[in-house]
Amino acid sequence: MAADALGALLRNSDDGRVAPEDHFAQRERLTSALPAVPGSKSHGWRWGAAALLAATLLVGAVGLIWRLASESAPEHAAERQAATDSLSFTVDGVSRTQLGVLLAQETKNSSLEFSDGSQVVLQAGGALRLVRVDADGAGLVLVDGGMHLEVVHAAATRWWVGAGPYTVRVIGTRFDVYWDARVGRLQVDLLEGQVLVDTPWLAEPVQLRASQRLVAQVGVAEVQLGAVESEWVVTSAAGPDVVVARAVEPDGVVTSAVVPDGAVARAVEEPVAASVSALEPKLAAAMARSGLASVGEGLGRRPAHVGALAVLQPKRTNGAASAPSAGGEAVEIRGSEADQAEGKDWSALVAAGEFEQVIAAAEQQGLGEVLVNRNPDDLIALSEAARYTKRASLARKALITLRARFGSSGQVADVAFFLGRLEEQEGDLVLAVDWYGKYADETPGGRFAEQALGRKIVALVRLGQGEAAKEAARAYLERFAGGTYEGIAKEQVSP
Amino acid sequence: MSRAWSQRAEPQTVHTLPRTPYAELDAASLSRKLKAADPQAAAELWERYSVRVRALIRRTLGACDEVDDLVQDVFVAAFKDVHRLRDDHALQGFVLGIATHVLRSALRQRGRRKMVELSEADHPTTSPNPEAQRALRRLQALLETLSPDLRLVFVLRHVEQLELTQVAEAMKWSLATTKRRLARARGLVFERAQRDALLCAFLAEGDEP
Repeated sequence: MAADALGALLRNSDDGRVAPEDHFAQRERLTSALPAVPGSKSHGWRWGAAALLAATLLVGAVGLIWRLASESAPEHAAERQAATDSLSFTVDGVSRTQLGVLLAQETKNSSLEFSDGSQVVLQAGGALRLVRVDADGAGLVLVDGGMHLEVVHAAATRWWVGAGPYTVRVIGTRFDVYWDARVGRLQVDLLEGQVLVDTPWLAEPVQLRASQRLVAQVGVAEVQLGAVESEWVVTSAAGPDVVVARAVEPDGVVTSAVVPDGAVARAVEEPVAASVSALEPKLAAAMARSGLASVGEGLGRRPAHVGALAVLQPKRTNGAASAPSAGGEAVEIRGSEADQAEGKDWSALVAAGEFEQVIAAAEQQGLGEVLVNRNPDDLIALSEAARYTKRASLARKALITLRARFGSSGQVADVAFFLGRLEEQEGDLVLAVDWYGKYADETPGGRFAEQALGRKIVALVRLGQGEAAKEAARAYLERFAGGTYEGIAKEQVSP
Repeated sequence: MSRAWSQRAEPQTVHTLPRTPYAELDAASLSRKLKAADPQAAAELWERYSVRVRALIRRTLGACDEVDDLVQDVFVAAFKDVHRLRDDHALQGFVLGIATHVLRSALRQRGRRKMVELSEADHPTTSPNPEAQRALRRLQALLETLSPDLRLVFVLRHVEQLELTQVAEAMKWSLATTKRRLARARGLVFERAQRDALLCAFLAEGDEP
């Protein structure tokens, strides 16, 4: 099989061995860096000035272990050495010149202090790697746990903190970072200043301002933004192809940006004036009046799929959203009122074959607002209208948004199937198989379950994936013997 | 847990180096030693799995500067989190799961960086065959085009030869999701390999009697 042949090519290329002396040196590097007692970290631990003070007082007393590269890997010592004109630093009060791993004890914080006055406090039980120190700052990788940073700002300051797939870029600020390596959860609490957070799925960094919190979860293409002390809005699980960014302001107003189908969003707190053009006029005007500044703009890796974004606020009914104005007065945003006043029912229009009318109504209202505010029936109708008029990108946006907003059960349970059908129609059989499989997994008793499995077999056959087709065929025959796709299913399983 | 790993775990011990006192321990006993924070147990863990972990990381990422640090991260995390290991016999799977997690993070981080074209010297290979070396470089470039998850699932299944259940456990996916994504990864690899004359030729050679 081709995959196995290619796998063997890669497997035979590298057996993972290193020279015996390197193997031993790296083993020593590991054992010299291990803390005395492994164990769970305190998730209830909180950062703040008290923690920093406590850590500072512990200088010289904590049992951290600083692994010096030169002790274990002499050949790499030079490259691991901090640059000669770089900042100097101490680890719990002891001067160090080489980069390394810092593992704090389970019950005590550890601290790094730099010659420019910047400080890093590693939470008890945490682990970090100092990977760069030069004249402009330092680069740290938070392997696990939390840390507090106070970076002194200078003209060319260049600090960054890596945590899993995320990078926090720092200019001058005070902030806390928490990285739970086990579940892949990042939290950044910005106490002062400004930081940028790079994520794998956003084309632009997310900018945090003072008193804001960012939470990101590996495996969920989602970034949450909000006030450090505010209550968090729990978002529904977004699919792998959906970006949802939400912000919780101190006054309880939530803003959210949804970009369907692999598009990349930027959910940035920035001045309204700079973002108004990205919004529907009515919405932008309301935001300007309210002083709200949360905006998402589509910046697509696949521009054809980038959706317009809109603002979602929590106290909505029937598509209306209210936002406090600058003077505290509520501003009603009712982007769909024109259509509602005309009493148009999009599902009925689709049933009557009036697809263009539905598209026109959606465009008139603003696709961004439609996607975020319309009910599931309208979005399904919009996707159908778009599909029938060969607007695959719009259909895809509507369907992906449905899943992002309403999950994958109940009224929108069939959306995965519709997506499969759309991708099949568009000729992307791999994606079609994926969606059909997802539908079959999520909705085994769904009204399109037989079709999904049958179409999956056909798509797999067309892809030349004989084994997978055979497996799907067996599953089909077990459940739908005598069904529409019985013939092709039997062909796959017959010897 | 990992049969494919078990089959290849033994030869990796570097016998020219001092053996640890725990070289004869079974996995469950070693797990218990690790839970007791015995540094000698960490050394033994290194002896048993570091070659395999390094191979997995190199085969997935290619040869790069960060390999040694990532291998260290895997073992530091294993030592720190071993108290979470419920089945002491499942030590290999536990290490594999951590390695997969570390790799996934590294791939996602790397995804934001521009891919750098590597020279031949950057690709250490044990293959003396120049054609195979060229095919290998094309394959590595091809795998760079996959998403981190698809790349990992392909490597775990077709390079590391893990069972589907082992892949699912390492990726923390359901079996159904694993099968689906593996099929997708295979489909993409096959489709893109078909468009590459060199890989096509390599595969055709393999088909010859």
